[in-house]
Amino acid sequence: MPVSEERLRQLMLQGLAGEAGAQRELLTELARLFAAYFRRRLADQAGDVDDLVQEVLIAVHTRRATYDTAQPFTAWVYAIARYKLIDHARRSRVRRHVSLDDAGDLFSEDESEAATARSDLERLMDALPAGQRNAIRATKMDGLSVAEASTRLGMSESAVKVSVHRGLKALTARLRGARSGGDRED
Amino acid sequence: MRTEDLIEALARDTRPVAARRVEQVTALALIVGFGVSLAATLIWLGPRPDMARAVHTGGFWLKMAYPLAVAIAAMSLGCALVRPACPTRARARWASAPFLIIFALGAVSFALAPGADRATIWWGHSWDLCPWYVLLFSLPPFVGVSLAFRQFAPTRLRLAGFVAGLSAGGVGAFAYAFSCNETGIPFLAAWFTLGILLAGGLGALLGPRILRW
Repeated sequence: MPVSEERLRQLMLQGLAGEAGAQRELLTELARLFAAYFRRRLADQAGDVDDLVQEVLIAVHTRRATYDTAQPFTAWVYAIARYKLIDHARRSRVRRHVSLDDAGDLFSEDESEAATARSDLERLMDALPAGQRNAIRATKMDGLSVAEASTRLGMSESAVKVSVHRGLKALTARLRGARSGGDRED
Repeated sequence: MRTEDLIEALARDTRPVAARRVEQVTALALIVGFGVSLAATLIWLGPRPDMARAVHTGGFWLKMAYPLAVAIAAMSLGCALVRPACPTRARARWASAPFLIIFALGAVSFALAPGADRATIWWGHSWDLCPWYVLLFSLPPFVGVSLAFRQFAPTRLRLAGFVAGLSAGGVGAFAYAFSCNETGIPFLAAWFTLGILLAGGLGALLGPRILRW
């Protein structure tokens, strides 16, 4: 049975008053709700559902001061989920736009034919700060979950997410720069 | 499993949150920014030389009240924009009110002025500097209000940036009013407003970058 607006709002108000138990129950309910919400909308990227759910939970918790208690709670929390979903779509479009396959083309003139895309990527990643490099390696290349990566790297989960996000952005910018430089030579 | 751990960690960090925390933090950021801007204005440009006489004129108080009204109304709108799904329409109307009022007052003042005075009350002697000073002095409060908004949850980033810029522009113009000795209402309506809108434009430009979360 779906939880009611009234129940969630009650939990939220108790959480805002500092009750950890209510906050735990609220976040647990929301995790369930948003797993379904994102699964419906990310049919082709099912692997990202958990990450998005966790991003929403972090946002709901750390930005709960923005809930106006005179307004409906579900409207607030779904607006956060929608924002995160749009942000995710924008990010994955950028990622798809400059796919890792392109990295091999870009650097093939500098590298021997035998060089693998992986080593090209390693070279690109060497330019990143260590924290971002390690976070990307753990989550995107070694296939760890954010939680596992955070244990391995001794960083908080949100720090891992931030590092991955910033690192991918820097890589994308680097790839894009390399590509437009290449175009000019042509 | 992993999500459960996250929830546990977050729940353990549950502390009470003040009901009007958004407004408190935003106001504090703008007030600190105002302090910096006012100090910069007074040290760099000095207080207006005719201050003692000017405080007895309506124009002086209008020049204080207009930017302050812009700052407060835009701040109120901004505090709604950083709350997801919070209605903003009524506050947007309030935020436009100071502009409409000053335009009306400026137009009346211009229309009633003798032809010979019109150029003076419109251009003053500093029309080409005033908007830039207002923009400059809006930077400290803009930094403050942006840092505040980043902790919250704006979902329309360009609009939130614009409104953050307007409130900072109002604060910057308020600080500059302590130094500026222009007396024309049309001058106020045109050039102070231009400076405030420049600050808003800066906010709209930067919003999508700096307000992401």
